[in-house]
Amino acid sequence: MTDQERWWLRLGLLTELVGLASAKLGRTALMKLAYLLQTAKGLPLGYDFRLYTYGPFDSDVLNDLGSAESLGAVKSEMVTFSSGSGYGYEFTPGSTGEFVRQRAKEVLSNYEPDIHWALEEFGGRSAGELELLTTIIYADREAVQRGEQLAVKKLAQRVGEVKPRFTEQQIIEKIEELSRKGLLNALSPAEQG
Amino acid sequence: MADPHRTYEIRCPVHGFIPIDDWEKEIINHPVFQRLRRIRQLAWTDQIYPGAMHTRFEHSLGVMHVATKLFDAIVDRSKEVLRVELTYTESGFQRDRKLVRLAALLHDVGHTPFSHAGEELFPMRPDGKGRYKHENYSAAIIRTHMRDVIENHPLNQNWELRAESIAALLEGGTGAGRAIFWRELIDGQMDADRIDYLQRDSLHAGVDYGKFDWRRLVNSVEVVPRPERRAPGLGVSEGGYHAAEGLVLARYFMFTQVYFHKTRMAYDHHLQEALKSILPGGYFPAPVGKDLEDFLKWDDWRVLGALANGEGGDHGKRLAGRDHFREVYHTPEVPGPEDLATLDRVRGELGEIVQAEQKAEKSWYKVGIPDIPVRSDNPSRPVRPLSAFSNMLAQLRPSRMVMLYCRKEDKERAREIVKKTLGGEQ
Repeated sequence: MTDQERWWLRLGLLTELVGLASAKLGRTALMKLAYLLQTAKGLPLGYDFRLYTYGPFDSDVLNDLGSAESLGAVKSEMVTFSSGSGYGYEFTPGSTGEFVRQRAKEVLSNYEPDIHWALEEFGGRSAGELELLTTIIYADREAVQRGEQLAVKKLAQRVGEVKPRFTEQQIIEKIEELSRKGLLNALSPAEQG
Repeated sequence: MADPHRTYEIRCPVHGFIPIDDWEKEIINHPVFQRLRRIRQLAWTDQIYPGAMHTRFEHSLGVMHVATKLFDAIVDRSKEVLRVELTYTESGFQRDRKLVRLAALLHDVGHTPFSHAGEELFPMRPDGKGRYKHENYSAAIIRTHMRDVIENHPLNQNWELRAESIAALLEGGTGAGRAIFWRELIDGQMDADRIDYLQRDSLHAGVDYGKFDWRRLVNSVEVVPRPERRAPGLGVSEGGYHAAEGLVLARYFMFTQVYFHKTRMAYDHHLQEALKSILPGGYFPAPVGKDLEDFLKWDDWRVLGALANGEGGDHGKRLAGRDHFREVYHTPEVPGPEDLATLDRVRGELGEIVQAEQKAEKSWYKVGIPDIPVRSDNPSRPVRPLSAFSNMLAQLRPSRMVMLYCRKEDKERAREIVKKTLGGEQ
């Protein structure tokens, strides 16, 4: 795949996610869905996600969203949350979405079931939940890369050090959920869901 | 043994005196760090801006200095939030201040000769995640070559810092623990790297585009509440939003005027192609084992020596003779669908005359979409994005400019073809 083809795939995917989602997606949701699809389903997006306190992040996802918006494939609007002091962005389909999707159609069509899977399983989660879920997967893949097998408690401990606002129990519940979905690879065999 | 409590100062053309302690002096004196004296910050930019001969060495010292200023300002302004959110104590702050200083100092030790220009020649990672990045090399070097000088200095008995923690902070790994929060000072929207290179590159290139009120920015950065995310984040107070705006605009201007200058990008192409010819197998050694040893032997001097010996093929000769490719066509900065169709047509008409293509989005220095939270002075609207305060930034889009190049001798013919192709549209 050339760089150009990959770029169209990224824009096509983001456009498709925005178009297919049953509720409006925000920047965090699109970032984390792209992470899940690349990491768990092998979409060849070529993003370089790195861990931050808010989970795996690559500014290129935001840049691609900006490019998709400047091409008219998606539109964004800033929204304020009814509680707390935060803000976010909501994305809706733009007028030229089809132009972008067509450019990536060939590759994207191979991953349509995965895109639907990501939206159904994770599209309705809150930003905070997605950050925790993807941090767990990030820690899991890091352990795999080191050749480690981890007990649930050990994985929860590593995640908890990065995200101290979540209790151990909350983290373990999410680890178990991801394990049941078959999305974790570093857990000791006895602890696989 | 020298007094481990002695402190030193290094003169910096941007920041004045940069204070260091004996531990940092030993790290700086390590041959792996000294290698940065032989890696130019902006590759062959001096062919356009003759003063741009500065190196990664002085930049790395500057990043450590700025990161410390940021850390101190944030702790000063947001100590209570950090105590509550991340359970910091005084000794925890002191320990992570040191961690951030060392990570900032060492963030670039994995650079190739001529900095970013050679990064396309990193080998592929075995895990299928694309090519290695210079951060992977920096982290690998910290874990191996720098481990002893980091972990075994007498002053480290106060902190018990591990090389692994510094490497994890740079790479973005769980090994950094709660200190991952400070990763935004190393690689974030208002990081010390950007703040330093914009000032430093401006100074040496002799342009003013990268200058902004960075001291005001440093004194405005704080932890802002983001309760919906259950993770603290960095933002600025409203009083400092023009300084944050200045940072984004400085990046934009430096990108258009220096980093993505058409002739500079031509030289990047020639350098990359020459390196392909000079490097055994066409790629740098991987950041593992003996290969990492071999990688560290590569610096600007070695590449320049090879070029002086006539290596580097046609592109090496072009570098030596200043016979660089010429730009014949470029898209707008933010091309729309019609512009991309025109590009396809121009590229097709030019055919084999096109010798190189440079894309803004591939540039390491590309300007992204800023999303810096600003805490309003108005208590009824506490946090909003910078783009909600700044009309200019609300309109900013990532540059997607594409430039096509040809040989010098083909330039007139190419321009005629482009003129004819575009003429049909008018």
